[in-house]
Amino acid sequence: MSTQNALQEEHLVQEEKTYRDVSNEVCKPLESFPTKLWWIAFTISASVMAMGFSLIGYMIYTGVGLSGIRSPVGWGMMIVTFVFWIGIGHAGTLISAILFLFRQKWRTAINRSAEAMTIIAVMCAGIFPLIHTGRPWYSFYWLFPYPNQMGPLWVNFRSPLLWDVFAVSTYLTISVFFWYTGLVPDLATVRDRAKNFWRKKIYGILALGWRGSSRGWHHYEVAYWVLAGLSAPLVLSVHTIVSFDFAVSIVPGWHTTIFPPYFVAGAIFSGFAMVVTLLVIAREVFGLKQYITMSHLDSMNKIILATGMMVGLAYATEFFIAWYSGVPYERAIFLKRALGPFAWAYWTMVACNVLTPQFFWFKACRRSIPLMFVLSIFVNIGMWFERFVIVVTSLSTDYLPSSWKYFSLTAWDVGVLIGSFGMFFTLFLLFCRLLPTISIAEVKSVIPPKEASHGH
Amino acid sequence: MSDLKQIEADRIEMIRKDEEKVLTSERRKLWQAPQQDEASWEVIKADRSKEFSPNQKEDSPESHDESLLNPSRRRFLQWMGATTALMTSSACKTRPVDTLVPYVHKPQGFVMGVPVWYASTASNGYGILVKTREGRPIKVEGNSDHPFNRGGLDASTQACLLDLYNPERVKKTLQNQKESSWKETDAAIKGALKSARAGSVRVLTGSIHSPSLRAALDSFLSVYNAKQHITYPFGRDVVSDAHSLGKKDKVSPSFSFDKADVIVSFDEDFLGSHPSAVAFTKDFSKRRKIHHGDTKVNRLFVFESNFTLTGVNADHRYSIAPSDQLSAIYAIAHLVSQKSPTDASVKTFLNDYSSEKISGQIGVSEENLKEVADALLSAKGKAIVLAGGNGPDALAVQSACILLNQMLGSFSNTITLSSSEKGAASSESYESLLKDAEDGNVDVLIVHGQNPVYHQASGEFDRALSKIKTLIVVSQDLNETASKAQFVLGESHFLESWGDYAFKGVSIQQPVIEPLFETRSFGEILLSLAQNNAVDYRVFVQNLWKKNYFRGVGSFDAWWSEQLRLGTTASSSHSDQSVPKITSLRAPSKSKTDALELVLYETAHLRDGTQASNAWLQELPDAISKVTWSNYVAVSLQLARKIGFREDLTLGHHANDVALVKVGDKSLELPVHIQPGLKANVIAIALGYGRTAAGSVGTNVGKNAAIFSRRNDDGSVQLSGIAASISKTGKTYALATTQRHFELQGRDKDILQHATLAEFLKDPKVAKEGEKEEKPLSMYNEQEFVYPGHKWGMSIDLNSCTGCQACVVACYSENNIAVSGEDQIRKGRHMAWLRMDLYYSGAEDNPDTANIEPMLCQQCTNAPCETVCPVLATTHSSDGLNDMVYNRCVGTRYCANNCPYKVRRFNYFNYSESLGSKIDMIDPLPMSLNPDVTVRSRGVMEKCTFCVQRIRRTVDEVKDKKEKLKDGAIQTACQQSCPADAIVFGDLNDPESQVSKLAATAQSFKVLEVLNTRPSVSYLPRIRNKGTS
Repeated sequence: MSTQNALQEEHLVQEEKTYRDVSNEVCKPLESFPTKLWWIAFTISASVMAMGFSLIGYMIYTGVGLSGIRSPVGWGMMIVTFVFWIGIGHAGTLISAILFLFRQKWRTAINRSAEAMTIIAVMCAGIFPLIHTGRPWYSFYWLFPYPNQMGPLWVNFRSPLLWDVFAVSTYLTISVFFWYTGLVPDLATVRDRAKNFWRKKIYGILALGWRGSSRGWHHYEVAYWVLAGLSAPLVLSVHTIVSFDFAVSIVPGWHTTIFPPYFVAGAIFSGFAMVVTLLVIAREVFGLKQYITMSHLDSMNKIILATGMMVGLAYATEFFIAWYSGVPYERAIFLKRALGPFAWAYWTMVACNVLTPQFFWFKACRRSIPLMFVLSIFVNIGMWFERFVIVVTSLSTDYLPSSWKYFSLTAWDVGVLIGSFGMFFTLFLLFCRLLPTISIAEVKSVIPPKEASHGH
Repeated sequence: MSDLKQIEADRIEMIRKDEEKVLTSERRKLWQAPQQDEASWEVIKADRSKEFSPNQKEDSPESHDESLLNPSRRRFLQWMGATTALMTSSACKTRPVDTLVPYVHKPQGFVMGVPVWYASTASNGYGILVKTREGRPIKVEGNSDHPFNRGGLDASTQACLLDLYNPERVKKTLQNQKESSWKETDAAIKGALKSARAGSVRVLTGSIHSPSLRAALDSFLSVYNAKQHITYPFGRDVVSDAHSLGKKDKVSPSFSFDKADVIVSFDEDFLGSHPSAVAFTKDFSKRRKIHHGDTKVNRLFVFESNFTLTGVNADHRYSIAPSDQLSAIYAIAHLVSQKSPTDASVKTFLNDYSSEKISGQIGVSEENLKEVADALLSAKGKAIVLAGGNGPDALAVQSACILLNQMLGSFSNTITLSSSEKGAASSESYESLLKDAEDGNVDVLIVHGQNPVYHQASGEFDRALSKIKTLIVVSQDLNETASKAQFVLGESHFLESWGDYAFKGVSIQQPVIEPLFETRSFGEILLSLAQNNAVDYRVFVQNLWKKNYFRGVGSFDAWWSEQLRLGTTASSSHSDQSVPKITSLRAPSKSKTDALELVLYETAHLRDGTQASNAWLQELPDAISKVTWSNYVAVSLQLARKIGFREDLTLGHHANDVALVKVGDKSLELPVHIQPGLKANVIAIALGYGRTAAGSVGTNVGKNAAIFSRRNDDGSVQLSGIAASISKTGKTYALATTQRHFELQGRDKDILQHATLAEFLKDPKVAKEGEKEEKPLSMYNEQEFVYPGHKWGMSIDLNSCTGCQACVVACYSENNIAVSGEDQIRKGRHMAWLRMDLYYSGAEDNPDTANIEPMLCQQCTNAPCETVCPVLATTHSSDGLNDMVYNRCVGTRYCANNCPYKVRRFNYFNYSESLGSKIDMIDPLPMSLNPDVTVRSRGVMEKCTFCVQRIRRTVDEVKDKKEKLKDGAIQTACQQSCPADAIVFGDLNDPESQVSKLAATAQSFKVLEVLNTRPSVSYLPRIRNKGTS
């Protein structure tokens, strides 16, 4: 190993790795029988997911009233969790597309799993707007503009919820393409290593006949660049549009222009925290510590610190503007957030999102696995509460005091929220088991050339 | 006949034409086909020879004919694919096949879908108009020609539809609680009556105002040598007792509030729970029309122990303890007596009640007392003083009122005495029945319209009952008394039976539907028992009317049908111009103690609990506290702080501490509600709850507080000022409340504008914010909607509205609004389209008064709900309505979030399947639905439509007649029912319409105008008459 020098970058792959080592080690979880640990994790998360889906099934059978939503709080856990999961997804796109465009080589070890996380998070998120409607059996297609027999009946292009439909479906589509394109060379590697007939067939089909020709690589690189270029603006646009659901309305506490940047910063913040949580587990469980190194985690913690402070600044700005605007309804809602019946939620949010990241000023903290694991979870708790505070407090005490009402979650809400985590982890565990979690091709490119030359 | 022939001829002509069409096309094909086939065959042959020459030979020319009946294999497959795709896409929905059975013989003069109206009289004397569709009554409205209620109708009478269609009614007769036939029961009852000892047959009823029923009862009483006893469950008789002292007939005071300039009420809720509240509201509100240009408004002073609707409408409200009621009246009387000629003895008596002495005791300042007296003195002959509440000195209180009214010259000016309850004086009291029964002198007791087992919950009736051989109960439902009876006779609803009612004129009650079950009216039952041959009760009523009311011009039949059509007739009640006597004045019976004083009160919707099985009335929030589905003990803020009661509004769900209320050895556990405006030593509980046999809906709702009622020394029922104690139990109970925050948070100018009369007369815009010159910048496309024809609008006069909630039930009935039930309301899922927001004004612990604001969809021009719906389920109509398209709605609830008025209601579950999850909508309940209005399924948003079905019907009718729409021709359900005429609906595009004129007044305001939603509903501010100086 090179000696530590402040000016010299740490190696992105620790220890001496040959190309073969990389292939062997990354493909190991795919090619060996899953460990006991994997089975335990998978059983738990799959059962939690099953519980979540049965609760959703029961809701479709009886009515959306199982949730805590009421008048005047028409949106509750489901919209909160929708925004939460969409936010989680953002880190994946940021890491894979924006860092790629900025040639941040440290992303190579983590981009694959971050992208997988994006897709899974968007899938989790996508369930909620559907099931939160009163009649999900219609909303899953009435929200799309399609030619129909219901007279010349179109959708309402002025409604932010419709913009959501386009934003999220675009986001999912682009993310899937981007992720899959990146996977093609690695799928070919897995195919080439396969000894089993079916394995060879399935990965062979998925690899789209990749031969590793220089022409192939050329096309691949171009396609990847294009897709990265397409994804990058989505990082900003998707959460901006999600924030319009609130910003475009006239509800005090929602009707603010700060929402788009505030939501994007929050999304990246929570997304990076989730990546840290997942990678800390993954490098432990799948033995990838040499690939996902301390310096990766360190960099991510720095981003958490930066975005956390942006979010904190947004909180302060909101209060200032509420006062500065002179609108009594705005002032009342913000005072109520901090001091009213939902103060517990508000201060949970502030503690988790503003105070927690401050630890990451210190290098020791940024490089302490247990600490960052705990803090990253706190950040996500805080970010869930941020959406809760925005959605619920504003609605519960708006214009007419006669309609004010406290909001509380029901057991069903909690069950479905936990169920969505079950779904997230189930899909993530399946991803770890079935696909290379680290981009083999890209990691090979960042192995220091000297060491690499010994390899073959 | 000629019409039928014409139709038949048309039909035959049409069939002939159709046949001809078929024939000609056939013919054409016959001679065109060969040529065509030839030609197409050539083309196809050429094509096929190029492509598929090997298979060419096998193909016959026919198979290549690309006509519809003979497609090629390829075309066939194409069609099949397209058909399958289209079929699957268009057949996504399974539509259940329902069978409609049309009339085989259509009744004459009947058109399907066109409502038929009947005039009748409700069992409480209100004149009603009943709307029937296809023979079913679906809506009950006030009859504007009736002299008593003059158009308005209260919540509980409108809700009678649910009683009519209640599937749990007694459907026939019960013998020993087993179903039986009328024949057997009649025979058994007649046997019991004949074997009874002389004078041991008794009939227990409430007051009887029906002349025909009186006659039937009299005939029964004479045949069986029976006696009638009358009971007044919660002591309403004390007022008439005091006024009829020394008179032959029972008289009751009849107040003319429209003539009164100053009204002082001591615990009398004449605008709320009083049985004549509709009539009183009508008169009272006539004198509140300041926004219609009448500045001579009345002035209402209220001294009350509980917070009532009358208190809400007061210009000055003072809370006093029930035991101070008499002193307060004496104090006013003392002040008045100093400036008006009074008996010397009275003057000396009143000298002990000077305002200096009393003001400290009752907690009302001397100046305030003087203000009341001065106001009264300035309105001699135009004042009304009235009292109620059945306190410890109920009779003395009434006497004191009579004294004051005499001093002020109210009698024969604003108060007249009328005797409408004939025969009441000859009847005996309830107490004598109890005594006779306990002495073993009652063999048969027939109970009608009363429920003594429930009302006398202390058990005195139960003790008497054990000595009665046969108890016969005539009742619509199996109530507490009926479930102890040997015989229960199913009574017809008043919409199913003939009858009449004498109160401010006699009016006929006519059936609008055949009895749904095998039931009889009370009159029919009495007659069939008194006479051996079967009687037609209609003929009985008719004969009676012929004898008593027909004034012999023209034929009786013509006169009778005219009476039926109008539903009312000229006055027949004998008004009594004499002045009532005053018993000797006496001091308050109770000296001041530290004990808490309990107030038991009736609510406007449940009253004595008879209608507890009515889901609409249970769901209707209390007019003040907004609590549904339960009663509670109301305590003052001071008392709650002292004992540590919490009504948790902030943390967790809304839960109330449960208190133990004790009176003597009786106790009840009740949830606590903190009621502003109560004296620290006063607690209040509503009566009419805690029924133990009121069907699925009403059983075990709340607790029966009647167990606390007592008898005063003078025989009157004591309901308030009962010494009680209260303590914590450590339990909690979540009351289902539709409103939790009652302060305006300084948003008065935006939400509910109010001013005093003096301020208003100086500047009508006083309640508004400073005038804004420039038009605010708008983010809406202000030119988007133009209203070429009509633009519907509404104006609500907050100064007239008393908050009686008649409109709320009218809306339920008209618009098929679902009853969501206690549990759902607790979660904030109330379905009412129209609600009454209430905000206290003044100090938190002792508010001056409260302001009530009816809140319904504001039908905004710049509607925030419309822009956010992703599927266009709520859109703008060309006449200015926000239409709600139920079958397009997917239920995102975004519209409800974005509605600043929070008037949108969401079907979280399938609420329309049941009445508050208490009883399913089984037959005949669905007959109560209005067929013009969609019944909403779950997952759908709903809201006020301005009764769009009424608008469309009237507009279409007018259009058919090629007339111009008259202002006021369309009445929304809420407007129609309003006893205060506070709601005006009409066309804002017509500058001459009343609504346009009201909306154009300087003081007219819109709620949350600052948001630029431009509502179509405008409000007129609440003006309190604090004196003009």
